[in-house]
Amino acid sequence: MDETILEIRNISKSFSGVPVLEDINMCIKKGEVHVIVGENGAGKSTLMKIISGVYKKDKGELFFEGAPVQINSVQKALSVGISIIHQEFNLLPHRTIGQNIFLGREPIKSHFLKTIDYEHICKRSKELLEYLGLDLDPRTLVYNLGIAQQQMVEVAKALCFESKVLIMDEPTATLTRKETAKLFEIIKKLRSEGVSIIYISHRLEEIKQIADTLTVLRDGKVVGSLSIEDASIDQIIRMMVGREIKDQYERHYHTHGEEVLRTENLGAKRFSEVNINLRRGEIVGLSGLVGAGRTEIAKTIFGEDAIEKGSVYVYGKKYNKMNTQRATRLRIGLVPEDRKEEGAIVEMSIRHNIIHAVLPRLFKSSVISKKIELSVASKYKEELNIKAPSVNKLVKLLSGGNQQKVVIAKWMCADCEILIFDEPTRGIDVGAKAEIYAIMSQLVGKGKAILMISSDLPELIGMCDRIYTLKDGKVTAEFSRTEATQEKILAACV
Amino acid sequence: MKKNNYSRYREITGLLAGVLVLFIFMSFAAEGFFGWYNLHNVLKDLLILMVVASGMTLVILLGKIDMSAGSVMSLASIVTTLLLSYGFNIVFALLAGLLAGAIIGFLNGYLVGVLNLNHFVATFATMSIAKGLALVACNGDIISSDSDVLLFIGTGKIFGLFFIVWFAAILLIIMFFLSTKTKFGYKIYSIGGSEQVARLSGIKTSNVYLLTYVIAGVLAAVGGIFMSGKANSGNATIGDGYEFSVIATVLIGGTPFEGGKGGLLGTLIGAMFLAILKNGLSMLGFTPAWQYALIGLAILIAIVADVSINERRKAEEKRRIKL
Repeated sequence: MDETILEIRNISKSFSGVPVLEDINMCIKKGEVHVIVGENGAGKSTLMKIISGVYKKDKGELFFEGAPVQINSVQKALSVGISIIHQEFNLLPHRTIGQNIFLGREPIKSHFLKTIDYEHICKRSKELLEYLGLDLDPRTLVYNLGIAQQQMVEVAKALCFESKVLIMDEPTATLTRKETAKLFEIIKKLRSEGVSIIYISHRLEEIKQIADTLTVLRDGKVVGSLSIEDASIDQIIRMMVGREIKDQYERHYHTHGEEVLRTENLGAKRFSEVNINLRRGEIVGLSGLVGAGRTEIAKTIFGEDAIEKGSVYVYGKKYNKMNTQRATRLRIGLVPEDRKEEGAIVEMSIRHNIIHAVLPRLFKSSVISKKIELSVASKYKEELNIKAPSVNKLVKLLSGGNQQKVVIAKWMCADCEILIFDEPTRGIDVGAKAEIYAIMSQLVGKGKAILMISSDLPELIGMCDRIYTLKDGKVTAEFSRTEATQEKILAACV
Repeated sequence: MKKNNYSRYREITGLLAGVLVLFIFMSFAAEGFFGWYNLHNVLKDLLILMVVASGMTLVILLGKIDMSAGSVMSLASIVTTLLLSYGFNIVFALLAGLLAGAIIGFLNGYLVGVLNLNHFVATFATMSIAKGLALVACNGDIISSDSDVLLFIGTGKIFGLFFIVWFAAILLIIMFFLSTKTKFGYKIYSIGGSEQVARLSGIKTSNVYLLTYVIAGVLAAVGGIFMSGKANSGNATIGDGYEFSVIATVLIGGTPFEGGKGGLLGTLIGAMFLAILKNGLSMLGFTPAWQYALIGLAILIAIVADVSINERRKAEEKRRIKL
């Protein structure tokens, strides 16, 4: 039990100059369940992707069974004995369970014709499935399986590789309570046979049931590792937060104006019975862990996802249906989480990106005046301090912070009254972050209303007048600016 | 919406240089190529190609394709000449031909933009529908026309230039204006750049798809009517394989399949290139069979260039992994 199987020494990684992992040291013992926790963006997934060969590390070493190993590809990781089950499964839906388990290393029947020994595949797959307690025919198409069963196929695949370390990234996120219990049984069974499991989770209540050891990551650093007997939930939460709220959040608080947005028992994919409201001159935060339904609420209010239950009130008028055209006409703007896919057309110029959402308002006839276009785009470029030689520059050539400013400029140009910011500072350097905060402050100063989603608790507390917390698609609490602390919010989210 | 973008400028001048080299080569190598009579005909052919290709350019700028263009040409040809043969008024017959193109275009736009079907499969199906309707209507026969007006459209001259040249020039100016100076053109570039972003910016994408495909359909019908005018007859095979020339023109002109990039200026140069190549090859004594193969080669080069540019772009993006 005390034998170390995988040791991580001084691993660092940064993406385009932003450090994501700094000097990570960790020991995984043989036959233990090692849980890694941390807020969104703490670096858990990046670390797992380095161990499993998806990303290359910048610095540091890995030791497997005491010997140094170079893991530079997924194949290498598998051959060493490290498997990962991602949140998104890597299965071919239109192939059978057996074909998926043996994908890429099908046994050969005749060496001359290179025919595949499908009989052997089915026999071995059946054994693996039985071992996992599943009564499934290996000839079933994966397409026909439920999520939990698909996950088991992934586990079977890892077993088939004779993996000694199995990484599971939030395996219970999409499982029911019953399925979770079954998964835990299997994890315990694997552990008893000497397989080490690295388990990433947000759900603190389930960690107590399953973990042997716990490591907390925060801002790309290890806060500490401890045995589960020594850890209490309160202590874990304290370790997860801890960062000081600095004075970078420039907020002037105003008296709030009338209500501009309210949801009444709003429900759709992944959330239900959401009642929140937003007034002029106010920044309201939505806090919750990944999968709690924050982005879905934003997209439903903006009309990208359909409203299934309840309604949205905009300026006091009730809407049971919403679409993006209506939302933009009502002067709602969404600054999405994924700015390269959803926020800006990166292959196009700053100019095009700023004005393309406001064509109807900017030009009375259907003809576009290049002069007006240029002057409007330049005005916002100045106002938001978008750093580029000209408005004709392609957005993909800008830094993350400046790309985000282009997206904000688009909605300012559209004269939006209600702005939804989804993770507005993710992947943005510190200087640009402060600028984005200043822009948001200015906007509410002018009487606009902002709904802000962020995983960065200090940022959320620093910027918001009120914060709603979400868990599993439901609002769990509401905190005013004076009440909110990182501990209270996190406790309401997990 | 031309991006004042150095690389696009260089691409256009590069293409133009290629056309010039080809032109000079053909002038010396192919007897009978360089002369007013022949060049005037080359100009006519290239403008017919360009009219159809300008509609296709808009569709490809959206990141989609219209496989039905050639069949729509055939259908418009048959509808117009058939109505003439029944004694209908020429204006009515021409409008009916254009309407046929608009209907197929609307169908394409509806399937792609409203029902969200795969654009290739949907227009592949309407390609067969349009061709089939044309064949059914004419029973597979060539329909001769005795209309002086139709003949004039195909072969008549005004101030020494073919009617087609004048007509196409005006049409192309309108198309240039539409694609670069109007809200509609702007939306095409937005959707082609990223449909997701366009929708999240409040653009009603389905309307843009519908209108673009209708324009492409009508312009293909115009091309079909021009071709009928040249022969003063209708033929259900008049546009066979024409969509390939049209798509090749757009690709050679530097508007890639991914959408949002390129424009009509490039397509015009692409049309010059193909028309000169085709005419020059026949002047050099290559049989139509050889012309097919060599034009295929030109398409291949264009596609390889398109793919390799894309690959390079992807490689570039990979280097800046997003957080």
